Amino acid sequence: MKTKKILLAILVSLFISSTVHAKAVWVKSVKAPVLEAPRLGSKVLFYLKKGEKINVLSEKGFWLKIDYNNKTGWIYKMLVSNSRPMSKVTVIEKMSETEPAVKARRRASANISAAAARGLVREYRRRSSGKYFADYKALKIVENINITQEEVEKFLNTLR
Amino acid sequence: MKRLFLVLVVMGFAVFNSVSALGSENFRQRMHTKLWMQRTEEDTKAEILFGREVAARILGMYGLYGNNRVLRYVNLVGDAVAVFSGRSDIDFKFAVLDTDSINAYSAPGGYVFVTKGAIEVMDDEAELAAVLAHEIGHVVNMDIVRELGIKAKGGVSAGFAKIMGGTRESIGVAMKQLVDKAIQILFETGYKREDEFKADQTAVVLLALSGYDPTAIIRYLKKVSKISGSKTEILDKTHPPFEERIKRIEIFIKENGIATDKGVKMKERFRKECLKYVR
Amino acid sequence: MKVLYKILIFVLFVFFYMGFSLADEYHYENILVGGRAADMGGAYVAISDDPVGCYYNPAGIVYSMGTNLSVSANVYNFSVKKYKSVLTNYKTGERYDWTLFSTKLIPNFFGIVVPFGPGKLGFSTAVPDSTFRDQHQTFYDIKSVYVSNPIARYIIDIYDVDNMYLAGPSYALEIKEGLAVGLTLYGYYRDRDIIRNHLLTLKDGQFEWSNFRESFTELGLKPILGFMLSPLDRVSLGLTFSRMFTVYRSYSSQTIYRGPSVYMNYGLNDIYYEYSESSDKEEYPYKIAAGIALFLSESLLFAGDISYYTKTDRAEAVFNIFAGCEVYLSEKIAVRLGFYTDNANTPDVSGSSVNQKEHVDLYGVTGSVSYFTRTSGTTLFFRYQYGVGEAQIITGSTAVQDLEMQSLSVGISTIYYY
Repeated sequence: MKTKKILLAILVSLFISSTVHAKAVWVKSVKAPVLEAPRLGSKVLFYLKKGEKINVLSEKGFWLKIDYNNKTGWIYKMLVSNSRPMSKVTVIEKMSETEPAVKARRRASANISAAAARGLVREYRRRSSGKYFADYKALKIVENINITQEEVEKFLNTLR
Repeated sequence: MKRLFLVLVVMGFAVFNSVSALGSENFRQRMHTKLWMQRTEEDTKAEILFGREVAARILGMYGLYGNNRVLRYVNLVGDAVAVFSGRSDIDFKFAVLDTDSINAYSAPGGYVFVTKGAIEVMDDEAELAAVLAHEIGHVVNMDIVRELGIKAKGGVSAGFAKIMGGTRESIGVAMKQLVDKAIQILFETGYKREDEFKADQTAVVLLALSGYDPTAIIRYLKKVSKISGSKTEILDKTHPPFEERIKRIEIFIKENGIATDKGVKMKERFRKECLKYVR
Repeated sequence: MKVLYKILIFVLFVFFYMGFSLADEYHYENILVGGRAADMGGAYVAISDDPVGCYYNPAGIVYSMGTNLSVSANVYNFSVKKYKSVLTNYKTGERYDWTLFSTKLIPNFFGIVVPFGPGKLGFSTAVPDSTFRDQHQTFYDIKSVYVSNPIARYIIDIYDVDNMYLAGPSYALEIKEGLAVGLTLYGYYRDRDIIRNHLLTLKDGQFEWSNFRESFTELGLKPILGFMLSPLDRVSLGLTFSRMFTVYRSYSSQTIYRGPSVYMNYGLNDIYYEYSESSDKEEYPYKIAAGIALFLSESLLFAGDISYYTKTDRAEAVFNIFAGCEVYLSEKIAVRLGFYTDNANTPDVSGSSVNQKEHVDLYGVTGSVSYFTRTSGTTLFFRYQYGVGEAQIITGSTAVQDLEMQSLSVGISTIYYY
């Protein structure tokens, strides 16, 4: 009898532990549409934001049937993750270490226009950057382009 | 006896219900492997630092196309698509390369480039979105990161550890070799064929999710396939043949029942904000 | 009369030798090898997807996760063999057990797996068996075979060392989706050194002294051929064939004996000395093992194995079964539980013969808990074996003693992904 009880306890704990991590996923894209059917192009029911936790009801190919606040719909697997998504990572502060040559030129105006940059770019050949020439000036311009989340939202709305 | 039977039934039920939510392609995979796949902040930092070195060299090859208005427009289109990409840990940056050759490039960390020559071939915003989405696909699928093993711990990480806190001298030889290898992939050898097909599929998905016409990529590829000569030299040697790509995309759209009659093209806005300046 | 004396000579000095031998010879699964495998009761033939697979089923290593892996396991083992009520105090009638202790701290397994060509290449070392005894015991007032002349004092010294080492490469290939084949080629080295020293002092002052020494060194090969098949999603089947082949064996034994003069007619300076050498090769059985594993989810795994060792000149055929399960409580923590049998390869002891080998069927339970990080996993494990059987420890006597064996191992194993 005692062994049976122990066996039961083991089985129960196995059962509990195997369902402990129930099927929840997190939205990992900035925005994720939840659709009516598991098909791209079907009607969008609502949008979810990055970091929202949703429950998975079932699975079909690339799609998951999910439940969020009692609303159900289908979401594309690529947009969700098994664990909490990372926040945005930036390494701007490290940039100065890779372009010491730029420091010398910093005496000039900080706002370098694209056209001017092109002219200056060719003169940086003395930087030993391996086989290929690296244009950090142009890179900086590209990195400094700032589009706000609101501007993107507004732009997206024009696509509906 | 009855109790044992009940326990077995309960266990069986529990057991068949506990299949992992996202399913694994490999049933042997145990749960701890999720820890490996989790990229940490350090990994993304390493990826960005590596990617910007590659991006700087792509810019060094052709030069940045300087029109600010076009630059902002391309970034808006790219960001709109990237919002649905699942890689919200990086800031995608888009730029136009000052060359007539037709191609698009991406570097790890979210640096995406499209050439002036490619834009000149396009007729609408959806096609631009398609090309950017394909490149975003390479970044999302982490093709170069996986191929070269770019991460914070292990692999060839010594160079990165130094970059993160080091001086100019510490951009080691190993790092330079990896950057050169990445450039080689982009300009000489190309990605693995399967990676290219996957990027095409990711492009279709991103277009559909964001609201653009998902067939835009087929239209663009068909147009480019008719052009030959030096303009498409690099594109031709680094990508699988157009016919095969187009065929696979068409199959992908059909198999997944993707609606082809919905989705915008935004021809007018494309002409006004972009084509006007480029041509 | 001469024959009787000969028998008497051996009665005492081999009193505690002939009747028993080291546990290793009579059991095949003494020390379960490896981390995860041993934690799951050794039911690993259908899993084997890490370096430990080199030992259990080399075909499985082709399914190892990650690029490169290394595993190491270190075990501290404490074993006890208790021959019950072997000696009797002639004054009080109290019965004494005779107990053998063995302790060992061994690097039980080390292995790595790396991708190589179309498949995976592995290299591993294993210590599947190891014994170390160093004990000194004294018994007083023991009944002896000489009815009127009991044993006033009986000193037994034992120094036993017996180790087996395996080392070698493995290679595995997936020949088509869901079917893999692998081969491990271990070289093995086995080393035994036993020294037994007995000194009996009889009540009338006479003594009997014996010193026995046996040692051998063996070199050989142990190839393991494995297959793994996945006929259904989440189900894995494994099959292995292996055998140890001795290539070189050098054996020697030495006996020095001096018996009580009254009974043995020994002169004051007489001593019995015998030395023998042999290079006859040991015959080991063939082993066939089959297993099934159910990967029910990424957090739940069940496995069961059965193994069969063929009969040899010295040993009976043996069947053993193994069962284990692994449950992940989270991405970082997993627990395992296993059961297995380790049956004796000796026949049952009957009451009508003499000098029979001992027979104890052992049963084991194993358990472990693992903690994972991105690049490693550390496991704390325990293994416990228990069995009760019979022995005939007294030479020439039909008496049968109860023998209880227990063994507890604890240890740490680690796995690194790089």
